[in-house]
Amino acid sequence: MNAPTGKLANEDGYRVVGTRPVRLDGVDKVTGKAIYGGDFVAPGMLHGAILRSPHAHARIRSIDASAAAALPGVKAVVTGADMPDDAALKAADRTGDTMAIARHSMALDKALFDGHAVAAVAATSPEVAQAALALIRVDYEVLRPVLSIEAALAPDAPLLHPGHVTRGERPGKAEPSNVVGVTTHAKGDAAAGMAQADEVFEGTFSTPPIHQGYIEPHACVAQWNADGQAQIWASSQGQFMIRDQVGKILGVALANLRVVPLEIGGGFGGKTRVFLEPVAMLLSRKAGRPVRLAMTRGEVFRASGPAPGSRTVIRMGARRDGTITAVELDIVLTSGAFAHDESGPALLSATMPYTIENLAFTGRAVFMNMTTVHAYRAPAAPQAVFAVESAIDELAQRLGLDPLDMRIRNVARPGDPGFSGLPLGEVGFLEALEAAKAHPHWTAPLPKGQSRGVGAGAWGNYGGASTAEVSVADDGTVLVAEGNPDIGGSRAGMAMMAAETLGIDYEQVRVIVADTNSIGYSMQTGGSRTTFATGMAVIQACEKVIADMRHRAAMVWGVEDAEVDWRDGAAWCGSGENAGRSLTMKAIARRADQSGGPIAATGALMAQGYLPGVGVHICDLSVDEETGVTTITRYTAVQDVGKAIHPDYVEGQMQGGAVQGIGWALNEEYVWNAAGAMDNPGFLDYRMPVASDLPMIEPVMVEKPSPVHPFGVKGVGEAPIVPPLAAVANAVSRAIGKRMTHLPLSPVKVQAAAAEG
Amino acid sequence: MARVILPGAVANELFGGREEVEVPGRTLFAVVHALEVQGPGFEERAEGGGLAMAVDGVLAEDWSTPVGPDSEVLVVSRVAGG
Repeated sequence: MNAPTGKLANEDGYRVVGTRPVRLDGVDKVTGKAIYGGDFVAPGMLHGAILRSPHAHARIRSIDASAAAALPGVKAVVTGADMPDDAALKAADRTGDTMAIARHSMALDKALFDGHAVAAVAATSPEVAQAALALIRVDYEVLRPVLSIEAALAPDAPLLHPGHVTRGERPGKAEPSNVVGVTTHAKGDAAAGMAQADEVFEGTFSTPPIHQGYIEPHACVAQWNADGQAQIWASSQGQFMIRDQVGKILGVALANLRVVPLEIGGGFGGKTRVFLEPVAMLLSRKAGRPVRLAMTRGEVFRASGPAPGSRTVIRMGARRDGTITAVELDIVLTSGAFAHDESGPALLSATMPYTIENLAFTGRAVFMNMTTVHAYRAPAAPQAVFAVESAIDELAQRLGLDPLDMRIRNVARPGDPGFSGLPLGEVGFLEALEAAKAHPHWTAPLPKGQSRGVGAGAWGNYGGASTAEVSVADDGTVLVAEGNPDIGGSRAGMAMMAAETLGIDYEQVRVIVADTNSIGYSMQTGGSRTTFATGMAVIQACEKVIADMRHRAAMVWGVEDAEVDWRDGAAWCGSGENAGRSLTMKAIARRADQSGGPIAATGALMAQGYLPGVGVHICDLSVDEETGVTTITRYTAVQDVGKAIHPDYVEGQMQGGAVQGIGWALNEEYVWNAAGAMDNPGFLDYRMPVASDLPMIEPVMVEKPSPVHPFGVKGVGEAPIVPPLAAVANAVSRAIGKRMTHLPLSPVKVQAAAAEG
Repeated sequence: MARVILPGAVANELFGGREEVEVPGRTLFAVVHALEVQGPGFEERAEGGGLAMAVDGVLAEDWSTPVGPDSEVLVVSRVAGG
């Protein structure tokens, strides 16, 4: 990466935006000085540990923690009985989300997954805490676990929540079941559309639950004082998310709960809810001292929020020219122990890049005895799109069409009705497909023994609430505070947008991620929203600062504000005896006290007008038919990114998303034994791709700017994980001449399919 | 009276299966209040961020957005992401 070398504007007219400066957080990270969740230490801090259920499904008859509490060095023990009761949790919000998060954090009367927390201790050392856990006696009545979608839907399935009635159904219509909720979407007449097709593909696809695989395990330190005020230090995707969820669960006034964000070592959606913080708070209140809780890798796998598994039945019809006439899609997603239904985004994303006249979609989520699932980049889009993009590939083969041409024939363009019926904005679906088709990779001859697959996929992205503060120091340097954890380079991005707006150098701006008591609310970092939404807040604050400095310069020169222009980081006088003179930011800031006081402004807004991102991925690979081992030989990721503020970060998102999707396609899965205990809760047995497994992922940015954002930003973080599942599976299917429908495409599975022929 | 189009799940759970209802109101604030009367629980769901609304084809986060007597208010599920 190189810092910008001059002041000349680039081809878009920007001086800073679109360059590749050194990241602000880089030195601390590569020298080990960055403070992550597990690094933080508070004076007098105790060490917490959690006792977790060894059973996937069990009634808790009793818990005897008296021996643990009596162990020297143990300062507090908590169980589910220490959590607020059902009435209080329901009062916190009627949706049941708060109840689900609380009961996932600590079981009450039933353990609903292998690894479900049943008790916790705080002690003077980690060793004492572990010894105390061994003294806790839990009397379980082991129940039959529900370990698959089919088992959850079986007529005689044990009910995880016997009182639960499916959401999305009319009250009184549905009987209690393991179906969390149902979502439907219809457009046109799917049956009539299918009748118009020259070719119809029908298939059933499945994907297992998989984990985001962030490197940093969940960790926090909580301190809840006797006066009711509390602090939490934690890494997450949103300090305000922690504040709001913990506040609701424990009934703490939000102003009494200060959450300090620490450096985050990856999240990918998995750190957008709390797991440890409510328990650490309860331990701290009992002990009267700060308490740290940190998960081991095994606990992360067993008790955090992986992506849901899925089963999708799809029918797709197409005419000879490739026009898709109808799609019928029925997707069932795993919810895990508590309610987390991603069927809505699954349906929304399934055919997003295309305009198809006739659709009949149904989505459901089901309870099962595994840890409650949660978001993973574009939640549930990869699972649904895997089926859709496989169906397109199969139909293209049957109809003798180029698979990219078939996608282009059906592509959705700006102004076309989107999923809700509202017209699409300036989407770049067509541009991305055409860029993929024009890329040399698409037309490169395939080496002997290799095959090529392509997959597309989109994600809607998001905007939402953001706050930023900008202040000018006496020496003219600029401080920016944002309320979003820096998970994908937001500090660098905010500094660049501030520098571009103010007309100064990137090196003059420094950015911090502020705690919840130091800045106004910002929605968490998720939905690929931060560069878009918080960036708009930063720009708004900078524009206020510029207006203020123009006013101060106008006072100095005795002219109206309108006579003062702002360019190149300075105020310029446009009339009177000082016409043509300038005052730099440094000169204005030096006299801040003499011109009205500190120079600072807040940007606070609800960012609207966000646009989807789309990716088109091309994958070359070889399959060893004797061993079933698949080797990726070339991979190109094309994406409409809007305007890339910092292209290195954008390309990194595209490469990272592609690699995670390749792992999803080839290797990753939760494996349970017959009793429901996870068999592979570690990176040795849960195989994620590493650098030596893959070729360089070539990112190709298609920059179709958003007309809503001042610099044209669209979200980029989630879309790149949507296409790879199908891109890889389509290539494998073409390699062995058999449609592969069940992920992961492990060597055993591929070898068996190849042998069948 | 504005015509409100509801997602199927919300219609089933709160409005007895009616996917289209008519309500009075000159702003989205008033429309949401009227919908709460017909479908108790709607307001909390809308406030909680699970739903978004569009007035005459334009998404409107700001509930002071004017609603005309012939307006169409489209209620859609809101998806944030990971």
